[in-house]
Amino acid sequence: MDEKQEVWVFYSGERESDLLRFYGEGIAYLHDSGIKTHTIDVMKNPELAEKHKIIATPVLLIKKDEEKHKYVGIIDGLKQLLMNDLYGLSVLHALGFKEGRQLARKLELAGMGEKQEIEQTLKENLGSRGIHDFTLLEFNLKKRYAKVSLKSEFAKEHWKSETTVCMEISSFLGGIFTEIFDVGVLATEEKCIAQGFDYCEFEIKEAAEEHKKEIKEMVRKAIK
Amino acid sequence: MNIKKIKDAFHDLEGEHIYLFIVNAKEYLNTNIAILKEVVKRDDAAGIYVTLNRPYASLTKILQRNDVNTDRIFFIDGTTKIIGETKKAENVFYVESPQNLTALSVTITEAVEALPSKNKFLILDALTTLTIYNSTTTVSRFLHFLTNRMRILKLDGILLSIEKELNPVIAEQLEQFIDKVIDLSE
Repeated sequence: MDEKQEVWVFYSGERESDLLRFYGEGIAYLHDSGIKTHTIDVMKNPELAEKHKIIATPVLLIKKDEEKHKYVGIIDGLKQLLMNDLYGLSVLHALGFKEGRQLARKLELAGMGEKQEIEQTLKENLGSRGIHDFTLLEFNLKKRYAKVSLKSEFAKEHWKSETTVCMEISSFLGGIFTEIFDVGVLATEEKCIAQGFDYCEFEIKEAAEEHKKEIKEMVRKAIK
Repeated sequence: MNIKKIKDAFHDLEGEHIYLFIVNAKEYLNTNIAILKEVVKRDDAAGIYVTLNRPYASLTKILQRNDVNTDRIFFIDGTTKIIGETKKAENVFYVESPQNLTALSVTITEAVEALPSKNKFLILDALTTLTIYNSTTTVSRFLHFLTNRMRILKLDGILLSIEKELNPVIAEQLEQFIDKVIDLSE
């Protein structure tokens, strides 16, 4: 990480009290990575908000090489930093998952149970997140299994890729379906627009039981 | 960070115990390193570090940079597989994801059983991540199982959690299984 980076998170303690909790992992990541980070409640520190020309919250301000970048809504700005390394990606994954669970709770998806109702509700609520044409290709509540197709703005804008690129949508869907199925699930992207397909396709299933017999042998070898 | 509080936590109790460390998000990494340094310096100490928060590759780099001896630590990594390529190494096992608590339980049990040492320890980093990926009921069941195994297998169990991020239902249940809560968040 660039040592010259400095970050300010501006939020309103009155209206966005949950914000720091929600982005806790991301902010901890910045501290861990040695990036000087300031979290500023604009209600308590109006002079700092004014100094940095903050007119709405939440805002993330990143200073890099004396140049300042302002991101309204925080996550877009955090993404720039988090995508830089493996740990950042795992934080981004956790944030996406959390966001998915929160949305599913807000939309009360867990109580629905019917495929069409879930599909319609998600279709209506995912557009603002750059996800369009959401379709539930398969849905089995009992088996905790679903297959989803969608059009992702991110994948459309992404350069051509041999591999799938929508890691954030995978984690977001994982969060949504964890709430619907009430069990930990994994969402895996199987086809991606960035690979040349017309749609991105995801498989969602209960985290599989996986166990390798060699674990004992590995520990014995590693620790003598 | 209160180093004295960490040292005292391990010295106050005799035998094997289960500890819950509540850590300030800003000091999380430094506190984590301080706890680990304290644990590995004991005679014949060897243990399992379950990382659900930070990928093995990134974690071990940091530990080495901070002079933490990782020779007698075996890592179970529950985060790398969900985001990318795993790096093969002798002292790590990659679990599919933090949601796969059945696999995690079996892996932890077997790994601990294979530890050759007298002073065994298990570190779970972090409870917070478990609650992001799983329902409260599932996490409660897992922690009940895990703390039971820790008692049976006679090892020091160290659970880490970020301040204010611990679900109140889980916190209440944990009180029954934990010997000592060390609040390092102040």
